[in-house]
Amino acid sequence: MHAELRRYESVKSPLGFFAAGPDRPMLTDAGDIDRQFRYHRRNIIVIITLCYGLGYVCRLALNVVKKPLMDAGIFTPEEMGIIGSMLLYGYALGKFSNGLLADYSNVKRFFAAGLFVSALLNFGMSLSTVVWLSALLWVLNGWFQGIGAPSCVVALANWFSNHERGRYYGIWSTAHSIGEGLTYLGIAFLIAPPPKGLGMAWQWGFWIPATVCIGAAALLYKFLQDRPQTLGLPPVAEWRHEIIDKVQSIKPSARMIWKTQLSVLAIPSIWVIALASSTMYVTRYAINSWGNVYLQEIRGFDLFDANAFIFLNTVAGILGCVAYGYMSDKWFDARRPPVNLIFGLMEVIPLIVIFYGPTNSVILAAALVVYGFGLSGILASLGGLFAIDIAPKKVAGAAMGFIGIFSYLGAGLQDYISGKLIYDSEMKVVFALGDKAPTVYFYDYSLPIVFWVGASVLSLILAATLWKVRARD
Amino acid sequence: MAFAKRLAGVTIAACLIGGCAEQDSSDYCDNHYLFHESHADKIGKIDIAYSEDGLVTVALSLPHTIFSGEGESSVVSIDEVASILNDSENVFAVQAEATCTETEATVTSGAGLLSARYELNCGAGSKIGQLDILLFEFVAALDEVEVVVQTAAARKQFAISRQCESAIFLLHDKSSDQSEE
Repeated sequence: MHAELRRYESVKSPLGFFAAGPDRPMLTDAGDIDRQFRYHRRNIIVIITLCYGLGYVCRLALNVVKKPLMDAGIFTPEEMGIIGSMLLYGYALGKFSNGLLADYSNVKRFFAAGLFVSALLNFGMSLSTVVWLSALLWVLNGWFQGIGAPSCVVALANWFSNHERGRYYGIWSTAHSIGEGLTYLGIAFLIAPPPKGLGMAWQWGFWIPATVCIGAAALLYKFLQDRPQTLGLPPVAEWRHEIIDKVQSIKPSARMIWKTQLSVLAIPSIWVIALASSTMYVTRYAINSWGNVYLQEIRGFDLFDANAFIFLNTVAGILGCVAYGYMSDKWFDARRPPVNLIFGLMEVIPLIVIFYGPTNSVILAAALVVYGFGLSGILASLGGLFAIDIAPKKVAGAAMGFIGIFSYLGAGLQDYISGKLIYDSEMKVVFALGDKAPTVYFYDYSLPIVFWVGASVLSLILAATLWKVRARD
Repeated sequence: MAFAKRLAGVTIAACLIGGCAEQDSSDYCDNHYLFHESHADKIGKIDIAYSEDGLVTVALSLPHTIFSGEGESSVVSIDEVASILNDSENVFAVQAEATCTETEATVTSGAGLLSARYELNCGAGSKIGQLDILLFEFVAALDEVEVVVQTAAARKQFAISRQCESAIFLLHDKSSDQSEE
């Protein structure tokens, strides 16, 4: 009955192409089932990790070409801030709305289409030198990029059981760093002048990511799969002979779920975490969006080196995530606040060194590594883990969604405020050469830096106020 | 299939429009940073400093050889150039929130160099929005200068050439090498 209903919905809906497919008759050959599960699970974990990472290139390309666009006088820092913030607003909205849609989707088509449209929007960005058009393209890109994470999570939930999901989630999580690394090194290599880079025009900073994302969309379409049941396979827990909680099988009504979801908003600690996460995202995205521009403008590094420094903090982030979970579980009996304080200090102290410390490249690199390590740890906690601890488990998703929206609102506001503060400090030196007027721009990052570091300090203080909060069982 | 072909066509067209358009900018400008050092001592220098307390200093040093007709430049008398430099309005113009007052303007010639130094006080609270360098308009023999601009926040070194639309960066900056050590 349920399968028929699904089929009916998929035919009727104009977006039926993206709807999850109907269940197929169950296969009877146990050997065949084993073989298919092993084949598809291997493909799925590889493909979602690879393609989610590749998708990042279409999300972060603008950060790398920001400086060339500003130097060419195409956009001012304030305009860059507006455009950059649009992606984050679109992403916040997209992650939330697409999270709801992903549960009902054939993620193979849904994710592939998201990346494909994101690629087209990157092509569009390469042709636009108009602020409102670029902002429109980038907010849409944010929304379509927001399809990726929920689709991957749905694929993980469909193909990996409760008892193994943590491990596979960890593997998939490395995609963030793979993607950021590919962007900050790969795209920087294309754009940076020789001998360090290929010296291509800034437009290539969108064309290559777009091509990469089209390739990734094709890979997803070929190798990602809808639910196991659509291939005639049993649910993964059944295949792995895991005990399915009978209580879970009693499906609560939509009204009950909605009521419990709303109850999340009545937990004061969730609001504090949301604010702490939001302020932490200010710093996270400030470094990701403006860090390489700051290193070029103020510290005098070239485009390639500046992006290589930012790359260091993303690589350290892989270790930070893993270390945070291990430390809080093993050394502090799953108490997050003490570990939040340790990782928070590991984030704030290097920030002070980066912006106010000695101007030595080795110290800068070391500080960025420690910063990336600390930030990723506290990101794992404030961005989700701590909230899941506190919220009722049935509505952990709603708690995550609430904090996610706050976080990306913070990140988006940051991009605009940073751009505005940087632009307000602008000084131009213009050389009159007849019909030419070469212009060199100078900016002062003092105020944005106070904003970025201050946000991290505030995040640390807010997180520390939850010292006595314990996880809800 | 037809869509794929169309997409490929659009991609190639976009690449041609954007990528090949870049080829129009002269190789001279694109590659100048590679050979700039070999003639750096034969071209003019402009040092601009803008301190936190609103003091602006513009210092010029122009080798006499620029005006002697060497290379492609035309012969100009040093005295004629010196008289142009005597008036700071021929050299630069400041667009600031408040009026800036000129506190020093000296032009000297000797040891093969024509030097000029100007100081302006724009006040600590007044922000400079734009500094126009007008020297090229008044000194036709000047083809290229090397510029160092130091503000309270940043330092940039670059070259400006009559042939190029944009400033030329990535010049070998000896002073920044020293500061890194």
